[in-house]
Amino acid sequence: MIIIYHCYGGSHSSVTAAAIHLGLIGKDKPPTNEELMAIPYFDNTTDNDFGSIRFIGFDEYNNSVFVMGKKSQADRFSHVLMGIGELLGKKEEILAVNTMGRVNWSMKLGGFTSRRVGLAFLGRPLLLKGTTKAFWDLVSLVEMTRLKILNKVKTQ
Amino acid sequence: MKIIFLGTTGVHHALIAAYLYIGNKLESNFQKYPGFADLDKEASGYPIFLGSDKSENMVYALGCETDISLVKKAIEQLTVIMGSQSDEIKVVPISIPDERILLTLTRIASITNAGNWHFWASGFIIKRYLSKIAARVKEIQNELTGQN
Repeated sequence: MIIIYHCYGGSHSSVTAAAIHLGLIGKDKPPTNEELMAIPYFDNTTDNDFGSIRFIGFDEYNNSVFVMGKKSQADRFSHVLMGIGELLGKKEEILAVNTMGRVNWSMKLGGFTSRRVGLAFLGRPLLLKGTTKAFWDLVSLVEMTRLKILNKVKTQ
Repeated sequence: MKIIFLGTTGVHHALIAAYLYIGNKLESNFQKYPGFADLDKEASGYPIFLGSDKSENMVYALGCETDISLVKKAIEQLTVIMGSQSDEIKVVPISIPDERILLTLTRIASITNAGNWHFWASGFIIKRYLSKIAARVKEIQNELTGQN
């Protein structure tokens, strides 16, 4: 199965959720700044990455986990991706998860300053603080996603 | 092959283009095409199936809001990631000058839950670009015929 976590830039909330899903960071305590910065693609994307579906890893059930930056596409973007899966006759093999609902203002402002303005030294501390603050919300989203996957697998 | 006509909204210019592509004649009362300015279909986010062309390719319309090239790229990548041939889905971008206005009208109509004024206002805008849409469809038909 293919799981795609997507957010505005594909470099903060989606990659953090993917890292939690894959166990790259533990879900029992908020990660340190160093652990966050070690996540693949974390605060490390360019404008060319918008719309690119990037592979992060396989989970324990051999599901492929991807991330994507979708700019300001609304929540219905999950349906766009799953609709394409349906067109390909693989409706049950894809799950798209919007992580934007878990993004706080510190992440938005820090991410904007770091990625869009290009002032990482200014935006990154705020971004890291915001990501740490959003951590439990992201853990909860990942847990719900994993339950959905289990249900999908059971019904197949 | 599946052909997706991709516009900022899927129930206006993309839908008209798709209907013209599958062989419907360009008519002045284009608003009668099923799905035109249908807010529920637009809100769903799923590709809207409209019929098949002469080569039995299934034809869809899809709205992608603000960034057509981003969604085109994502669809093409997803097709390959899901293990399908890259040519199984052909994404055809359709643009008209007032597409942002249509998108804004659609968003307002969705929030206010209004129907009729959106239907007529969309029709008014689309009417101005019918010949442009038809010309683009001709180009696409030539392009796809060349490919087959």
